[in-house]
Amino acid sequence: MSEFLAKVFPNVLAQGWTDEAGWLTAIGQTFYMTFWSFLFGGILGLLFGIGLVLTTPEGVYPNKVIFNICDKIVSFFRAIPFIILLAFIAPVTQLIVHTQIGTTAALVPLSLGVFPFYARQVQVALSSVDQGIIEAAQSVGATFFDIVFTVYLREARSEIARVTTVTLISLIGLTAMAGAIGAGGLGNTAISYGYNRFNNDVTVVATLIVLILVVVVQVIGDKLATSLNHRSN
Amino acid sequence: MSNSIIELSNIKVYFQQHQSLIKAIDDVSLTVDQGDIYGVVGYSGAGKSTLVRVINLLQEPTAGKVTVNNDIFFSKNEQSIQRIDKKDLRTKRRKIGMIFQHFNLLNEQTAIQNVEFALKHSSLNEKQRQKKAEHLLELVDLTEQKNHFPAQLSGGQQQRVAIARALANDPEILISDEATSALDPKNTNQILDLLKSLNQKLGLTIVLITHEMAAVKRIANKVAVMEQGKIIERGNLIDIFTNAKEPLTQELVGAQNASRTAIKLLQNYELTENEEIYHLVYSGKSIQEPLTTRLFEKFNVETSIIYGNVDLLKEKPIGTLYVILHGENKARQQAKQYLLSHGVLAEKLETEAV
Repeated sequence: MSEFLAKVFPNVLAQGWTDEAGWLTAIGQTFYMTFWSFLFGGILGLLFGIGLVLTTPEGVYPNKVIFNICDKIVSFFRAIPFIILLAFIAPVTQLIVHTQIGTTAALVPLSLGVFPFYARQVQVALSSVDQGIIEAAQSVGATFFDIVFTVYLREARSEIARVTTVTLISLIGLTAMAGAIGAGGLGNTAISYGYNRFNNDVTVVATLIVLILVVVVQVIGDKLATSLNHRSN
Repeated sequence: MSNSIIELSNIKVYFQQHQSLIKAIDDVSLTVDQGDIYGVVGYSGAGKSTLVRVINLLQEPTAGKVTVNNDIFFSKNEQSIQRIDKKDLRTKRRKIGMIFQHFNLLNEQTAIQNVEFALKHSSLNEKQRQKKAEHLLELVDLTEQKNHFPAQLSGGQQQRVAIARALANDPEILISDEATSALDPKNTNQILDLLKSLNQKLGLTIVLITHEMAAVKRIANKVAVMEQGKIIERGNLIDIFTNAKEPLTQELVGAQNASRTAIKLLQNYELTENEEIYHLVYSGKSIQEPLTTRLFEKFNVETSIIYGNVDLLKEKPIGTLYVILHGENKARQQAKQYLLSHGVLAEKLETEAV
């Protein structure tokens, strides 16, 4: 078996497991980046998404100023290609984490890269809640928090699970680019140790691991979205 | 003080759409008394839904005054504007239940959770809330389905959950916005009868918006007819049904169709000198009297029935007849007086009009 592996993937085992270039190190970095930037970017995206839905002219709390500020910020960050964003916000990264390179430094651009995408997705998901349900909630004297949590977030939870899955997958894609600022991860393994050194076997294995990650996220996300949906039975 | 519970005065709701001003509600006043079942009818787009949303300020009017239960919710004219405090409004809204055409239940919550949602800010503790929600579901006959999600319930059952929710805070007023329009006839009648019994048992004042005259006929005691943002006719149910003035009202109550049928039948008939066509409407006691026989006995006036119809208004029969009276001119006049004195509306149809 190992003879076979050594023949087909000669450079894969040479990467080692826990060294700087090791597989576990790379997987760990990808998880680290995905988790934290998903947390920060997710919270930011959720806040902006909710803000957009509530303050639109047709919303429950129409407010032109807040809506336009949220809308412009989201549009601005969505417009910047991620690989450029990495460099573009380097001064901000320096300010927040006191370094511009490395895995932790990548969290800043990753969070800022994923939040506008998530915000738009959340906006769409929340907009799917029937206006009539909101009206009915208002008619029984629902408060701001009732409307946000019990009506919007609870009613759209299946949709939110679905768009969260999409976002998470897209975020895994973004972490692959973070190698450009020395953040490591599976993407970096595929490019720096695989492609750049003509070790195609390393590229293939790194890609396969990313693929497995994406499939696992997709399957769990789909299951969650289905189990949270009571709209059709 | 009068016993009016809802008072809308000179309500205007205007929307600016592109370059044009849409007058959704154009200077409407409406008074609903305690215990009324007030039907508001009209075709889609007439402004019915917008008008009733003004009652609990889901729709803020452009101008006018809204008074509910002697509380001024909103008042605006050229000089001043007065608005109820937001928190106060939330509390007061709980005393105005509302049900909708598409039920508008929380889809991700069970029947009982939907009712409990309305009770969230009541003074009851969790256990009492649960108990009250159960009691309300029992009232609408859904005890067995309390843990079902809306998608697992039929339309009629969903609407009953919505009624239980609307009643959660013991409201004095219930607004029904086309609540039966998405239901089949059997469920429609069940819901209407439920509303009627709530009106009788709890003294609930109901504002019933609908485009179905049958619903109004079944339970309302007063009717307002809306067209293009205005109330064009209003009155007691029986008056509106028996004596509609406006063409739209006549169309809605079906009077026009009836007279058209009658008139069609008359086209082949030439009246002689001693004949006249009458439109008779009778209800109450007069329905039991053998009036046509009396007319012949007393005045020697013969009655030919051309067209007849009996309607049930709030379970009270209302008869409509188109007849030809044969007899001497004087006898016919006496016959007419006799009918009028016996509570029958008798109106001569001019042959030219025919």
